[in-house]
Amino acid sequence: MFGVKDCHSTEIGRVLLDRFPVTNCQYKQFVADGGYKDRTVWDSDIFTSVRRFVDQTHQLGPRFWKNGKYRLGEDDHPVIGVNWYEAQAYSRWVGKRLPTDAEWVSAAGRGIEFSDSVSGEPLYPWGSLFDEKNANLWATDRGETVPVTSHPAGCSSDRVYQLVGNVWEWTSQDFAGWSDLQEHFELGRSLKSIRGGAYDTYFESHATCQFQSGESPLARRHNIGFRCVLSVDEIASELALDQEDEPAEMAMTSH
Amino acid sequence: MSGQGLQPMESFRLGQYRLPLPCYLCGNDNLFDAVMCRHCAGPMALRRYAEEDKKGKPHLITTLGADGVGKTVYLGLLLDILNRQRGELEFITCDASSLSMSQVTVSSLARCEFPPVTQNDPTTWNWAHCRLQRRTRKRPLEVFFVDMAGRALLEETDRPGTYECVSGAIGKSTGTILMIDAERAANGDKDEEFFGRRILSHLADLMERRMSAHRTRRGVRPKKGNEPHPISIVMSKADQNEACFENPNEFVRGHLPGIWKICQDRFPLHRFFACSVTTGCITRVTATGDRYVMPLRVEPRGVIEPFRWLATNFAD
Repeated sequence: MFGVKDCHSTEIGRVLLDRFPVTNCQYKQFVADGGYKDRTVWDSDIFTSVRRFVDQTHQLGPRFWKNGKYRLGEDDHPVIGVNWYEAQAYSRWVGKRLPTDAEWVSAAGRGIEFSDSVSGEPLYPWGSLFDEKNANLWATDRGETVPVTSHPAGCSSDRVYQLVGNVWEWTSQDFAGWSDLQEHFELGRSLKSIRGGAYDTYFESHATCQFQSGESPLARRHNIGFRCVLSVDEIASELALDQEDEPAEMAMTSH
Repeated sequence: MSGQGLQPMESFRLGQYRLPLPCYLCGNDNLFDAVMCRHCAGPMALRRYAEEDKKGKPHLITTLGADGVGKTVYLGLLLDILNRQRGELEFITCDASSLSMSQVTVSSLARCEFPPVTQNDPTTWNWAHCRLQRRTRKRPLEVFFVDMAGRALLEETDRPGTYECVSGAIGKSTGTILMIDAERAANGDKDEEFFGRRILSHLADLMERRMSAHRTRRGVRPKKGNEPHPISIVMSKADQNEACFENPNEFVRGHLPGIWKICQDRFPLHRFFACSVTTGCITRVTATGDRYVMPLRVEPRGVIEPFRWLATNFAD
């Protein structure tokens, strides 16, 4: 399966990972603040196409919104229908970035040392035994997203919510599957890595901390959201400039 | 050299062999204890259920489509979902062999692989026999599914009689799921439309023949409600085409006008659906150069709806 063999030894710095995925309410602030027109937060090669990132009523915003609004009562649901570029733009706008694969996996399997052997790693943030009450997957039978504060029993040891289930999460890196000297993969197009499984992930084995899937960076799917990360070094320099800035709702993870 | 022993006298059993048991699909005779028809390889369980009045007539659902359209994956997962879930529709698998289709599909998909291609040999085709429990009805339905090879199906449409089991199953079916590759159709692949039209024409011919035989025997038109053959036309692999999910009718009208027309003209009871089981695929190339298409993840969408609609249109 994808991702299982790529858990090699990786050095990552200390990072602060958002405790929750980015919600509709948070993303709406980005839209309202003119985030889609702010050239500074977008990659230069995509900015000319940003006007195509519209909702159901052709307004700039996530794909499944209407008239620039998300569905009633879904303020605290994870934002979906955003592509990788939109996720990256939001992260920049909020002063953060998307996590790397290693940072994401590290947060999910916190407390376990990476080694060449994967046997010591927990499959899920709460341990190695799957429990459908801990995550919003197909087995949970909800069939849609739930608030980002749901399933507290499925948190990681750092109290990071929903690393598994509810929505897949964009990471900053390319999807590579895994490969060895014997075989390789042909992707056909560029794919970005996504992690964690979603509410419609059929097999729990596809929503483990180690499983990796891929999606086109331009795809605006019904089950992909994201969360942000900030390096401690970056925040330290920020704090030096402004002592009053404190990161809220973030969990520290490091290796 | 000779020895002595006791030989039980079971010659009365020979009497059972004197009465041939006709196959439900092809009508040819078989021995009373045959499991599979020796002429067309269809399951003899169909005949036994057809004869047991208490259980009602067996409902045979045929899943049709060209090679590689995703029939095995669709059926395997549909059976697995309905066997696992509690809800409006529930399945109970009636025999162990019926589980093999689900097992092969589900275990392959869990490993991010596709199940092996269904071979042309009808003796290797998977049949599944399930008892369908509907929340709204008391009496369960005996439902049989068959996973036929796409190539055999197309050969049979070209030269009827090549695969007797194919026409037999289609002719006796109470509902049909026709699968068309939405990805290929959206990319302008005209073969996809022609495959679909060939299958639909064959199906319409068989249905008309069945109706005319019915009329000849009884001398009257069948009762209203019995005549239309329900057919779910499923756009498979629609995961990369959100527009297809949003409006399958528009998708078919735009990309497959020939299919749209034949459905309007010859199938009064039809509905279009979009479905996907896996999301995204990549190709694995082994050291020996073998290439395998692998799904990136499994996210079933629109799998139950085509069958649910068929089930509401069954004549009990």
